[in-house]
Amino acid sequence: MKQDIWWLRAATLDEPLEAVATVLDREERDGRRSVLIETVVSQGDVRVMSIQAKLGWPT
Amino acid sequence: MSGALSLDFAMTQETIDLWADLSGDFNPLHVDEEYAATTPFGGTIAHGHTALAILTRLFVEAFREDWMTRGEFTDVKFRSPVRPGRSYRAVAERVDAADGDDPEWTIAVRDADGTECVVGRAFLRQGVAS
Repeated sequence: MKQDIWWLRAATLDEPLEAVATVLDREERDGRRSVLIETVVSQGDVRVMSIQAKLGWPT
Repeated sequence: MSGALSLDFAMTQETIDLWADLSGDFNPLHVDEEYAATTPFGGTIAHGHTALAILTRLFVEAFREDWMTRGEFTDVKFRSPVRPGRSYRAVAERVDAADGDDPEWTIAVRDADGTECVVGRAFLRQGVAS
């Protein structure tokens, strides 16, 4: 698994956070399957953090 | 800031259990010692982000609010498990950069034998609108 992580804003206390994960890409080649997932953590309309993770496993 | 940042720490099952509570990730590989003993890992292992949080602490302590709005980890890879009951060192070593380039570090969590458990790169982005 490989990850890229960005801190965008400091979260404020006592405000609810929402994390939404989206599959950006899927790939299958050379006997391996992989998926690229972006997870964005938000507080209201403010993006607090973004993580892109690529997970791979043998087919 | 130049030079290396480092922090020695011991991973404990208590820390792993606290992280499970915080993240909601109660995968038995992390919190059930009896189950984890039956897996190829032979025992519980820390969540990847537990070790990554130690690396984050290095940068937060060094750069405070700047890190929270301009910090970035890239190419983070979890190469080897971080296990309870063992000692580790989190290190960040500055990479020489050309004038005008964003400050960059290589980051790693290594065990007592020098095995790299977590590796990646860190940047403090300049001119990023927060």
